[in-house]
Amino acid sequence: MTQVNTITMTETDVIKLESEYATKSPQEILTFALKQFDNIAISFSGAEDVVLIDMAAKIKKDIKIFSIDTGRLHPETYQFIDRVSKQYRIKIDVIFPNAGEVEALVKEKGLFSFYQDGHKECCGIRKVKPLRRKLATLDAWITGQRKDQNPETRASVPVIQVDTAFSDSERTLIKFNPLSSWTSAQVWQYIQKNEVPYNQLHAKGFTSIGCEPCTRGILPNQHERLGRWWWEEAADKECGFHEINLTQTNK
Amino acid sequence: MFIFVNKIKTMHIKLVTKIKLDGNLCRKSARVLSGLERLDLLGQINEIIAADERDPLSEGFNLANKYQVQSAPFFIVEDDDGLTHLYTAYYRFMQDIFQISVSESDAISEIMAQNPELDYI
Repeated sequence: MTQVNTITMTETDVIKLESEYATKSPQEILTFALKQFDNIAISFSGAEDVVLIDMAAKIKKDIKIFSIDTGRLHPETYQFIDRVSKQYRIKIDVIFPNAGEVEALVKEKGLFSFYQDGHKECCGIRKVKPLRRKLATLDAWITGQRKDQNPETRASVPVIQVDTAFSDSERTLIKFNPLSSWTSAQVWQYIQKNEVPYNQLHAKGFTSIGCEPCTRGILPNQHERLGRWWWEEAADKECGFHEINLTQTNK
Repeated sequence: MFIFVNKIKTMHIKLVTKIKLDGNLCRKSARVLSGLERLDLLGQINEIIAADERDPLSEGFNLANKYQVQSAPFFIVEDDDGLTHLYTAYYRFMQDIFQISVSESDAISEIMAQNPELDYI
């Protein structure tokens, strides 16, 4: 019988832990996370965050993994999710959006509304709502998010955090981002050194992998953000407190 | 609702908005202000503080820097126990402070706006 750890972490605990673990390796952060929480799962996007699965499988048996099937993924991604499941002998909990909501969106706006209206509406229905539903069943989760993925978000990827987006007044959800400080190059060094399987789209010039209509290959040395929602450019940035503003206030 | 209004009298609520270089509010700040006005709750906000792009030293930027907030608008609520609560999500603020639920779609939209890193999940 598995002993269930019931952990209550306060925001102060998490801030302390974040400072303690900020410079530790992804494996050390994962070891801590998997030891502290039983009801914890890794979010797997079907891309290079597979390194988390490889690391976690070496730390603990029967790790929980989930993946969101938005219905618009590349065939290569579906094949990859299946391959990872077989190779690591793990069950990946594939979760889906609400069919009625997808149907309503498509009926009203067609299959490619994101090219006109931006990706947020579609992502909200196909990805974030099912994610929220899944996270409501967990005490903690682990993501492959890294600071270098998007210059706009680099300040907001601590290795351990209270997930304020999905916690509520009755429940505190903890989020671990063990790869936060790793660069894309470090992730790929790990993949090659440990012979970790990878999504075949990477061999076709895709750096960041999401839904098929919203992802494209990029040229060497282009930032991976350019491979996602490239038509949106600077939209949605107008409410941000850009670094320049915040830096000037410190002078 | 009456019980609730009595409760918030003991709170001090600051709303930080952003004003763009052209002098207009950013889209979300405008939406939140208009939402509060529509619900007749604007009077419950004690201070509206601007982060004005035309003045990088404006107080709103100081507060954004102090609380490490990435985008506008956000709320700082000081309660009668001297505790400060930061709300970067409008829907959470509305739920906790005014006990008003927003639609799930609005909540999701807010979550995504405040957490752009979710794009990479």
